[in-house]
Amino acid sequence: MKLSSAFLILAGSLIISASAWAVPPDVKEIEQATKVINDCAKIADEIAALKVPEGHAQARAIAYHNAEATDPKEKVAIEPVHDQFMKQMDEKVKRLDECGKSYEVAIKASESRIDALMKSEGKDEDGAPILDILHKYNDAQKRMEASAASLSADRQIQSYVHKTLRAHFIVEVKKP
Amino acid sequence: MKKNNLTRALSAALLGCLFACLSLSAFAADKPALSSADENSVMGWIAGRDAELRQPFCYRQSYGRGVGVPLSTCSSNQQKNGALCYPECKSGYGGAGPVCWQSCPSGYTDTGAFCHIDKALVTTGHWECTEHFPHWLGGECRWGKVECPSGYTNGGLCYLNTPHDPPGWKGDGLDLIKSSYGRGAGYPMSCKAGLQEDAALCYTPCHDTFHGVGPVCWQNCPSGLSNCGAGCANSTLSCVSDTANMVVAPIILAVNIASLGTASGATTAAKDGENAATLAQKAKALADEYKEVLAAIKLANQVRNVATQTAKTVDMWVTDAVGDFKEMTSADVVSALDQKFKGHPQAELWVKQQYVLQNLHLMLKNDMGDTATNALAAASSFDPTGVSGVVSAYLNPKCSTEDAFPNVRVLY
Repeated sequence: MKLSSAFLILAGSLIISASAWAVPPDVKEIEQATKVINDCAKIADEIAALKVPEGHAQARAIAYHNAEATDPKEKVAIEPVHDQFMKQMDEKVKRLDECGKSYEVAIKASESRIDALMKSEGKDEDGAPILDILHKYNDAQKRMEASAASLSADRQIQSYVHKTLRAHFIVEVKKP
Repeated sequence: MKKNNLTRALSAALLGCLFACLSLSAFAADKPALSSADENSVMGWIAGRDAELRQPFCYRQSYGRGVGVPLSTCSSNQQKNGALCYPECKSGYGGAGPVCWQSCPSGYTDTGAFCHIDKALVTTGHWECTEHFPHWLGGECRWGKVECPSGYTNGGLCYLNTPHDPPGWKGDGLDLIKSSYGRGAGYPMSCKAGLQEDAALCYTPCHDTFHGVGPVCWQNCPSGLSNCGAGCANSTLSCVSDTANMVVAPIILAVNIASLGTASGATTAAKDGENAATLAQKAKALADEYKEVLAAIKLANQVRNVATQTAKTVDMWVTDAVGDFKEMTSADVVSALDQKFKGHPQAELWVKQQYVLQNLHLMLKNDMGDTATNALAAASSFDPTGVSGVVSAYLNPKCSTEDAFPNVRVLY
C-alpha cells in the first residue's frame, strides 16, 4: 500500500469520528425513548387491526364462567375462533404491557433530558442533528397518540387494553 | 296323475317318430303375445310377486331422504345458545351458556362478565405551543400543552374522565361487574317441525311402512317376516349372513320341499286361502312329473327322433303347471293377469306358459346345465329372452311392493 493511500484512510476515519462527536451523548436517551414509543405504537396498531369475532362478549362470559367453575362438567365449550382470539389478545396485551413499562421509564428520562436541553447553551451548528432527533421524538409521540386512540375504535378491544393504557401510557389521570 | 300318459308317450317316442307331425296345440301360439322387453318386465313382475310370497328372504325397498341437517330448534320457552337449549333468563338478564348475566345499563357495552364504558377511552387532542426550544435548537415549538375534548383529561394522551358507577351497579366506572345466576346444564336441541331426528341429525320423515336409518328410508318387514339386515326373513329361517344365498326359484323350492314330503313349502301360498295340503299334493305331482320331463329332455339330447315325444312331455308338464298357475304363483298374480289380458285369453295363456317354461328352464338348467336351454327351446315355444327378469326377481327378491302391473302392449 502506498503512503498516500494510508494517509487518506486515516484522514477519512478522523472525519467520521469528528462527526460522531457532534452529537452529545446525553441525547441518546431521547433516541431510546423514540424507539420505545415506536415499538409500543406498533404493538398497539397490531391490536387495533384485529377483527373481533361476532358474539365475542358471550364467549368471554362463558370463559369467565369456566374459570369460576370448580366442576369440569359445568364448563362449557367455547368456539375455537373466540378461544383463539382471546389467546391472541392476551399475548399482544402482555407485549403492550411490557412495552408500556419501558415507555414509562423512557419518557421520564427523555423529558428530563429535553428539559435540560431547554436550559442549555449551544452553538447553532451543533443544534441541527439534535433538532432532527427531537423531530423524530415528536413524530413518535404523535404516532403513539393516534395508535392509542385507534384502540378505542372497538369497545371489545378497548376493554382488553384499557388497564394497560391507564397503567403505563397515561402520565396522570385526574378524577372529574 | 298323468304319469301313465307320460310313460306311454315316452315309450312311443323310443319306437320312432310316429307323432312327428302332431302340432303342439297346448301352446297358445308360436307368435309371442308381447315384445321381448314387455315379456321380460311381465315375467319379472310375476316372479317378483312370486318371490315375495314364497322365498324365505326378501330385500327391503329403500330410498334416500336427503342429507340430514343438524339439530337447530329449541322449544318456545327455551333459548338456543351454542349447541344447547337453556331456560329463558329472567327479565333484565341475558344468557351465556349455563349462566344468566345482568344486562348492561345504557352507555355501557357488553363484554361478557362486565359492562364496559361505551366511549372511547383515548382520543386525540389539540396541541398548543406553550414553549419553544432555544435559538440554537432552531427555536421551534416544544408542543408543551394538549387541549383535550370535553370529558377528557390530558394525561400525555387525552384520557376519558372516569364516570361514576350507575345506580345499583358496582365497578370502577369504566367496567361494571354484572350479577349472574345459573340456569342449569342445558338440553339438546331438537329438529324443526316436520323433521325427524336420527343420530343428532334431522331428516324428512319416511313414508308409511318405511322407517329411517340415517339418510335412507327402509321398508318395514311385512307381517310374518322379521328383520334381517338389509332384508326380511321368514320365521322358519334363521337370519344369517348367507341368507341371500339360500334364495332359489319359487317353483324349485316348492318342488324340492314337496319331494321331501313336507307341506311347509306351501304354507306361504296358503295366504291365498287355499288348503295347504292340497297345494302340497299339487306341488308333489309337479315334482314327480318334472322328473319325467328331465328324463325326456336328457333323452332328447342323446337319441335322435324323440323330439316330438319330448315336446309332448314338456307340453303336459306345462299344461299341468299352467292349470295350477294360481298355486304356483298367487291369486293376486292370476287376478292381475286376468284383468290385464281381459279379452285376450290366448295372450294370457301365452304369458302363463312362458312363465312356467322359464321356471322349467331354470330347473332343467340347474340339473343339466346349459344343454337344457336348447333342448327346451326345441321342445316348446320357450323364449329365453324373458328369463333375465325372472332370475333377477328370484336373486334379488323385493319385499312386498306396490309396483303396478307393467304397462305393456298386447300383440294379439
